[in-house]
Amino acid sequence: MESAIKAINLTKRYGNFTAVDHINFEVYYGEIFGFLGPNGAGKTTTIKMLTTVTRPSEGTAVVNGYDVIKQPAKVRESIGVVPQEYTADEDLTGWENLMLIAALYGIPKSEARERAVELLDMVELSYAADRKVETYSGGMRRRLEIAMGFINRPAILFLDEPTLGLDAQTRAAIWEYVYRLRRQFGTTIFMTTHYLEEADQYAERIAIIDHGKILAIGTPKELKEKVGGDVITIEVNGDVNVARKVIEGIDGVSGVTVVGNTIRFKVRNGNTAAPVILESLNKLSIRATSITIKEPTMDEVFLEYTGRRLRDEESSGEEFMRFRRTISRARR
Amino acid sequence: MVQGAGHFNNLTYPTYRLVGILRKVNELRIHVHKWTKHTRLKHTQAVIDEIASEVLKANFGTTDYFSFLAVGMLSFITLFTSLQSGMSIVWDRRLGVLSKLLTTPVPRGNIVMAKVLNSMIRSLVQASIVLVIAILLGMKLNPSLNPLDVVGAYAALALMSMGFASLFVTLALRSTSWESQMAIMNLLNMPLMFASNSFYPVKSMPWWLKPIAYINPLTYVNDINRQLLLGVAGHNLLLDFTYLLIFAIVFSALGITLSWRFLSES
Repeated sequence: MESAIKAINLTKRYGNFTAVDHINFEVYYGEIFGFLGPNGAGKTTTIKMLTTVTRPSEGTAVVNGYDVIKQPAKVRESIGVVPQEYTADEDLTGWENLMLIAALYGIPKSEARERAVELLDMVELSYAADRKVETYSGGMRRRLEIAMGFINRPAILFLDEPTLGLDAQTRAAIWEYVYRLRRQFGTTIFMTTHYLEEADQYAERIAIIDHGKILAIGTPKELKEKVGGDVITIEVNGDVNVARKVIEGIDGVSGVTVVGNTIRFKVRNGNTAAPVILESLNKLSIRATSITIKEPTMDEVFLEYTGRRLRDEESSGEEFMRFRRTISRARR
Repeated sequence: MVQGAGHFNNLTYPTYRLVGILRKVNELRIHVHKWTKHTRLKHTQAVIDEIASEVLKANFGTTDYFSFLAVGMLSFITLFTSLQSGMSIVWDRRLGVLSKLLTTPVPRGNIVMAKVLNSMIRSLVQASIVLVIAILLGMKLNPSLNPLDVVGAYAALALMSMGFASLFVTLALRSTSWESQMAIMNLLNMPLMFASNSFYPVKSMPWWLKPIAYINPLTYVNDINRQLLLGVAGHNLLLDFTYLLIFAIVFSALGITLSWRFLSES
């Protein structure tokens, strides 16, 4: 039972279409692991297989030490799920929803009450606990669902596009709550997203998934480094060709391009390389009039691995309806 | 005569003729009535009534057709409400609630039976409302009615509801379209109702309708309820209940076992 989640050749086919194609990955206890990919990449299908909602066509996964095919009941007891759609019952109050989900997990009433009070406090929804969920805003609903996800103190919590449709402020707040709860319970978090910044900022390790295949796994920093490092743009006042030769001669530099007086190139660690380059240029009396150091964005990482920019994939009519419903509820 | 209103002229003439004919027929009727006044039997109406009630009693088992029909309506409303059990699953699936439910440790069979129980409770409440309205409108219950009879009637309705609700939940296990649920529902509810003894007794039915009525659970429910609530004679109560029990158990078991394999998110 070394890893929290281990996927072994996990595959899901719908007729002729392969949604998830023999993926392998491992998630360690206590970390926040993210799946980054466009819509239709297979993220939600993977979560469904890991949470025993659908059976894999091939391969298997071991979640919290239990096989999803052979021991699904044990898997369900040790996980919590916050799905993409808002699944809290709108006719019930926030408190009643928590009691309901506690009953579904077989938590005795007295203990459920204690846990509900604690969770509502941690997501700062205590003031709205006795209002019907239909009066909640999108952010409040998401917070409630996250509280509901932690009710059974799961070993692993699955977040499927947790901040879909929410504004940037609410997104930061939601993640604040997730971090807080994780610190409290030590839960491993498995999340999927198509927001590049979200994956970059909040996930500790990311797997880039596209068309059902995993293209790369690593920390955001590692993935960015593989792209070739930081991009530096220097404008020089002097002989551009000499400057170019100097730069090309420096260790770790690649992809040098020159446009007029401006030299653009990639280097491993821009912060430490820049002073060295400037010094070398100074020695030859070439002055740099402007310098820009840019870290690669996740967009560039994605471009590097998939050959295209992250954009919305085509989806079925049903999926689109769900997406629209989620967005419209988020925007309330 | 105005030239442009030609087709109206063609209708007015026959209409006048028709009204004239009807007037003549009415006059004739009044004359015959006067001529036969002293030869008409005084109690014709009473005799015809008595013949009719004998026929009614022989076939329907009672002269009170309203009460006969009212009991039929109880099973009718129970049927209608039970057939809608599948819609709940279809909507849960669409909204993603079913997906969330499937990640909890709740056994799949429990999900199915919870929907069935929901349907049963709603059906029985509806049936109670219909019963109250029927009594207010003049349904006459058996004067020697005891609480056990009422419990028995509700039990029969509940068993039928359980069977049909399980059947329709099973049909909805993988369905994402509520339209197809409605279609199957409407396909079955009217034929089931008319091919039973809700409106008229089985022995008055044509030979090809009788077998359908004999396997139709509504027939058995109506038979039980008429015996218990109205005091009308009927078939063996124990056999009726056994049939309904088997019906309920078979379809519930079917629903539960199929749900293990087939209840999925999509």
